[in-house]
Amino acid sequence: MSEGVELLQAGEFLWEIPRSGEMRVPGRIYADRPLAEMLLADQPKAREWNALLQVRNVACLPGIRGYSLAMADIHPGYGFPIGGVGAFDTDEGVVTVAGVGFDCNCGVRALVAPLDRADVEARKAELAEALFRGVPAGIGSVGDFRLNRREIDEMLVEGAGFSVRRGYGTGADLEFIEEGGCMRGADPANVSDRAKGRQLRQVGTLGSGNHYLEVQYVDEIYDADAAGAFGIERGAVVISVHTGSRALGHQVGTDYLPKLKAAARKYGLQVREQELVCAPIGSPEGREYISAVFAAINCAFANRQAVGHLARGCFARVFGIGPESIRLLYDVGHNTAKFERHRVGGVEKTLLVHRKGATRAFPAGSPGLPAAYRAAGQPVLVGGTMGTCSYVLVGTAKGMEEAFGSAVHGAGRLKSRTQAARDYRGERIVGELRARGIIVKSHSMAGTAEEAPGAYKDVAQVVDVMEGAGVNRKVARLRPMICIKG
Amino acid sequence: MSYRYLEHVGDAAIEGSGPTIEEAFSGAAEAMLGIMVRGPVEGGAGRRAALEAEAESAGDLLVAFLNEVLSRQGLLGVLFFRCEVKEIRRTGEGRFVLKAEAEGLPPGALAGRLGAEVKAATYTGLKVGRRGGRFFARCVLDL
Repeated sequence: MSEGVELLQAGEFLWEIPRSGEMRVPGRIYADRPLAEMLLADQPKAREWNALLQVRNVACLPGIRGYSLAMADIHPGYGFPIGGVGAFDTDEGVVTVAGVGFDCNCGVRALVAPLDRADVEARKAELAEALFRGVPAGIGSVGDFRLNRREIDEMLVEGAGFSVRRGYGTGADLEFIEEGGCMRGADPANVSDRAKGRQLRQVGTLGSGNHYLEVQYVDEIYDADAAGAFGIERGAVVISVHTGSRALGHQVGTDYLPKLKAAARKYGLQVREQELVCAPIGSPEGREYISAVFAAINCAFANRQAVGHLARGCFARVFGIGPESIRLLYDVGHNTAKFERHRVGGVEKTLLVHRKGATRAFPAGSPGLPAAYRAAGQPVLVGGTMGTCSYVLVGTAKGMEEAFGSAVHGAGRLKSRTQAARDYRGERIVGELRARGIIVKSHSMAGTAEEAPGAYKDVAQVVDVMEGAGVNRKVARLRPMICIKG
Repeated sequence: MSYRYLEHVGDAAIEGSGPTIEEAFSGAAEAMLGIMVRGPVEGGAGRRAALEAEAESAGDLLVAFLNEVLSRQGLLGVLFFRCEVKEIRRTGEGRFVLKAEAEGLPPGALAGRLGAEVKAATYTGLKVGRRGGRFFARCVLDL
């Protein structure tokens, strides 16, 4: 398991792991030369869990089609690399916890406020305080949105619509959420009582680690037509929320890891790393896990709907505007497994697409997009760091053909948390950013140090790779003004 | 009992070690809890919980145990800051069983010491064994 993985340049921004040994498909990684060299240099340092090895291991899974892919924000994960995409044939393929992760449907929601940058700058400290107090964040935090177990079951079926029904947002929001905010096929019966018990007070909470709520302004428009369709212009104020399915999602992954291990043994499925344990998609175990994942996806939609509405309330109080005047730009996950139609070898098929730290990026004309975005394509929300910038991208036809309609999800970590804790101090990061006009309010200074901008790759470089490869296209760049960390 | 953090760029790799397998597992738990609660916390005043886990191998037991710690603290609404493995034994059927005791406080009582949430223990990098006369237990955690 510790041998080096060969990486060959296949284009200016595309690298390939040639098919060999047990690999059923080649590996493909979007990277420029410096990023590729970084991946190669990481191999001897992390022999058991380096990202190239993980791309290769995913390529060995049964029923994988096309390529084992990684976006330009690739870095080591568990089983799959972060930034990994694997699409599986529904007849011969498998579903695996490692391709979804434990924070099922972790994703980003972006809202547009009817304000401009100057409005926020004038009341930035007051707004930061309101958001810090108004949006529960931090490890173990709980919210006022309390549910009983019956209501949890309803949420797992309804997704974001459940939160809307409970007064968190409006029905108009739903069109601007991936899948309309509701995955069909979710079965609460396949989510354990323990998972539900952990979620009773977790809806409407941000979490910790790399989760955040940012108030940003648009400082650059790259694609005026798409930006026009999305209703954003220079100086516009955007509220971005990065969070997921919270404890329920964590527990779903935990519950199904040993179940899929047993299934892999039952069906004689060989995996190159134990975390890649899996079940045939059509098996009882596979179907059960998929229905639980869909339920957890709905939990995340409901959570981001609630958090977004709490943020709207804070803006409404500070600026005296109606919460409904804050428009949902889009909401899209980056830890999912979903059935999608894609062309492989010239034939269109339904595939189960796992995206682990990768965002769906459907191009113009794709079914299921909001009517207002159909000519532009689906917005892709890419979180950078609290000191740099974030991006709105859009998928391309080439990305649909080559990468199963996928995009990066962030900058991608450059340093481990251990290294970042050695290199940075939370208080100092907060002070430095304040001097640059960015207010950071955090429940954990240790966590702030570990999320320091220097702990991440250059998000501009990562996004430029994806645009250079023709897989994603830049629409707008967002600069942070306020960052709320858990 | 001791623990260390191994380099893992994306998540966290932990390793506990000690003269017994119980101490190695305790070290792994302390490493995991140390990601969530920073610095020592004086014990005695927190909520105590008895934990049990069972699995078919020592490695699977480590993952099952660490995930039990995370699940229980979530259900209890606390953050554990201490966890001691009391016993690991094999049953007549060859399965591995574990008993442990943990102590925790509500997050509000740990303000200023909060770190990052651990979402789960994974099978990646999973190894339980002996090295130089000491037991070790390691795996990668999802943060």
